[in-house]
Amino acid sequence: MLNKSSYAISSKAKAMYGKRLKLEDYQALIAKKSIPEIASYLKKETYYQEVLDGINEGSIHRGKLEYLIRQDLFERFNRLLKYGLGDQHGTYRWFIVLTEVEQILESIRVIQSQDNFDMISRLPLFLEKSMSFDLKELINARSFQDLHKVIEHTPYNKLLSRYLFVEQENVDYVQCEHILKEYYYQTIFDILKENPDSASFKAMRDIFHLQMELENINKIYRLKKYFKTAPSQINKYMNKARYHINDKLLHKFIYDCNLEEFIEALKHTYYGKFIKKSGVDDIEWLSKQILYHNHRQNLLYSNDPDLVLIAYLALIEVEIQNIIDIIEGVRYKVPQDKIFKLLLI
Amino acid sequence: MSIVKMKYIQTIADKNHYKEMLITGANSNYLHGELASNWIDVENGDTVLVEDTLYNDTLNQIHNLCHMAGYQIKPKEQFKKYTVEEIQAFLVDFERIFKTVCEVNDAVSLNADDGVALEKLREIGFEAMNQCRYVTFGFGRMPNESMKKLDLHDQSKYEMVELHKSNIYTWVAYVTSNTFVKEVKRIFDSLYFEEIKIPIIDTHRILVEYADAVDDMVAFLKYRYDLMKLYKYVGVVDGNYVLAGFVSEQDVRAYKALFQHIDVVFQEKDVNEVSNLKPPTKLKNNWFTRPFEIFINMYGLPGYWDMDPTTFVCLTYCLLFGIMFGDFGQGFVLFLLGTLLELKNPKMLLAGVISRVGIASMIFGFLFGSFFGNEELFNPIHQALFGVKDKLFHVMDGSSTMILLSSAILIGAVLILISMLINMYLHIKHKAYGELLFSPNGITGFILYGYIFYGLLGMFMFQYQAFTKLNLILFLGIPALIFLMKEPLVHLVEGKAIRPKHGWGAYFTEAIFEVFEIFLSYITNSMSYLRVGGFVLSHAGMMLVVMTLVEMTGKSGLLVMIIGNIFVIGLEGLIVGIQTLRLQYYEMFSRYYSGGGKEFKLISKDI
Repeated sequence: MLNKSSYAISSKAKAMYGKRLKLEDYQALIAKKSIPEIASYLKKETYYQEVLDGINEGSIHRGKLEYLIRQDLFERFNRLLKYGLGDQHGTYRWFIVLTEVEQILESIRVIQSQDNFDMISRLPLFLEKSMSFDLKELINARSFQDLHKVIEHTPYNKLLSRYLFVEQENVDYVQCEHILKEYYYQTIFDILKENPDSASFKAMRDIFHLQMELENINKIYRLKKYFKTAPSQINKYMNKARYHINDKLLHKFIYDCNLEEFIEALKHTYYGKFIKKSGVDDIEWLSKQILYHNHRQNLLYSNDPDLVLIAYLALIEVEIQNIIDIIEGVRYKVPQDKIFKLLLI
Repeated sequence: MSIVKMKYIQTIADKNHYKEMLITGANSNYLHGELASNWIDVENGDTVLVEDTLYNDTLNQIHNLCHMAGYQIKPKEQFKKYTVEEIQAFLVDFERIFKTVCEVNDAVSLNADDGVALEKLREIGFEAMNQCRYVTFGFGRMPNESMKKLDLHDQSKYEMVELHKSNIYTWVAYVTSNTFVKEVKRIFDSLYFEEIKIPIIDTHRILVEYADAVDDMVAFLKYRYDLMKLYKYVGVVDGNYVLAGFVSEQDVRAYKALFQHIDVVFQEKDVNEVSNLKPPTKLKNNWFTRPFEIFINMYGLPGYWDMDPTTFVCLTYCLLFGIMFGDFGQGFVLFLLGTLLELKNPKMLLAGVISRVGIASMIFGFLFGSFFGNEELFNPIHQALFGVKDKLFHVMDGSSTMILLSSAILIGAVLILISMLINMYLHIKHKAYGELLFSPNGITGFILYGYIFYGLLGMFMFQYQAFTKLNLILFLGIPALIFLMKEPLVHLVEGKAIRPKHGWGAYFTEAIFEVFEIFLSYITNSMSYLRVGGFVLSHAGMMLVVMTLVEMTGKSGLLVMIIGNIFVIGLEGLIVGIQTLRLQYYEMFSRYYSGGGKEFKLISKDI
């Protein structure tokens, strides 16, 4: 992925991470009474000063604040890449693939709902030139035929053709998401395989395997809890990657356990210690915490530029999510202690 | 060189002319007004002219509302005159309109960029936009990033115009049919459009319309308010309005001439005829000594009946500074700097002082043969002019040190004796004969100090003996006794009871210590002048260090010399300036000067 001579990137990423929001920042943000107050604090007291400079915090919209922070994340990512080898290299490629997947999924939702307002407002135009399809055309796609035309000359066409050219109401969104995510991970592993002998190969593969496995656990949890989905259907949505849970155990989770039994069984696996330690059964939140913990370890103790960069991006993504949770919490007047429990710090 | 002679003048007018009289007096540039409360006779029914707060209150009210409405008042030069009823009617109208403007401004909180955009929108007309029945206007700012996304939406349902753009936002106005207004608003809202309310009235236009009337009224109110600030100088005596004050003797005719067109009467008196009032002091000095008035003002002006010491201060200040800071080159720099500052700001008295002490430094620098620390440059001139072998005076020569220090004390003694003479002159002027005869700075003090000075000169310089027994009894013993008996003797001369206030025992106990203190002060005051010699040596020493550094630094020598000279001029110039002032205030002023005068202040400065 990155040139190994670019070890400066890990130092730079660590230095940038040093400026992250701290506990006292989160406490101050939670104590705010309105979104303008949050924007004002971020603008005046944190490193978001640069991106928020010039905005009218008195009238800022939650969506715009989120958009600006995300734009800032991309700019920081770009700055970090200057220490590496630029936008033709692996890390940048998987970042773009990730964005493309998210945009296609967003487009499918738009086609189903026939309302593209939110998609337009969130559209990452700053990445427009790096995309393999035209973002503006994607926005105007009002049918799967339109979408097909937009992605016709991209790898996504082949992936989705089986699923998109059916009646619109029968499109299986979860399946599409599963296929695109598979492709995303496949892209990552293909990039990793370009340097199979590198020291970071195993560490990188491990972190993505962990991520994929946690996604599997989350899907089982969600589909069993909220949708009562048939086991055979759940099985279709599983990633291929196995890390701490083998095929046999995964099969047991899907076919032999109801929700309670699944959680109980999970407690006897590698992930059990996290459930016991935190004392909560919210598997989705625990998954995030496990990933957060792993990325944090990598950022603090690894010197591998790829690993540190990926950890940095993941941790900042967590920070952005924390800010969004605070904004939502303040907006809907959620008690401060409840907002605090949502945060990954 | 003197204190300007004054005349006390009362200008009297009737009820119909007093305002004009007051304005003419205030604009005359001749009159030092005397507060009416100082001279009216209350028992006789005299009163001070009472102020009316209407003008001030109204002025404040207009200022506050204009400030809140964002209107910058520009009072007119020429203005109409208003009656009280007209002012009150104006105020009612003004408050109603400007309060509405303030309310509209408060509702639309604008930054500078908003203002620029709104200014362009004004061309359409705010009232017109608000009155439209079938279409809706929208105005606000949209992030530039969102502007790029606007064409991704259906644009057929609105018309939009860009008004202004910054790095972050674009200010736009749109118009849409009432049928599509919800849809269009949703598009704009989804792109983080921050709406700014279109004002219901055009506040700018209203302010422009009212500007003339407001400026005119403010000018009139200010004129009346300024006039009222002078009422304190007008006393009402027997129904007449009297403006009283002091005018310099030479300006009396010119002052009176200004009132030719007004029906007034003058009453002119000599200053000693108005013993209940303290005449103001106005110093008059020539161009050379005038800058030194700054030191007199700092200490306190002399009383009207005292002497103006500016010339004496000028001469002694230049002499002492010149000796202590004797360098031709550095003196020239000070002269140049002072002259330039004086030309740039003629009112800057300190600049004049700098240029004059610069000249003194140049003179003594030439005599010491010193030019920017170079001690040999003037040698050929000295040899040609004074016929000396090397140079006139070697400051750094070991044998010169004692001469320098002795000369410093000599100069000090002479200055102390002159200070005593001035003091005696002032006592004669004030007819204070007791103090003249018996005080330490009077005749007795002068004889005692002069005798010691004369005796020491004979002992160390002219080889004669003045300290004989008889002389010591006459010129030391008797003066000491006089000091001891000073208070009873002064009382005797002034025709008062000889016995001291607190009895003889207490008096002698106190007087013995006082006599001891007088002798001590003669010694310490004289020793204080040692600093004059000390600073000559210090200055030469500092320049020696600079010149040694110049030699050590080789090619950079010139730079070191420039920096060294700047450093010495800055640091030592300041120290010597302060030390000279200290000698003025402590050693000389303390012997003859008391201050306590009242400044001559033109009545116009109150406006």
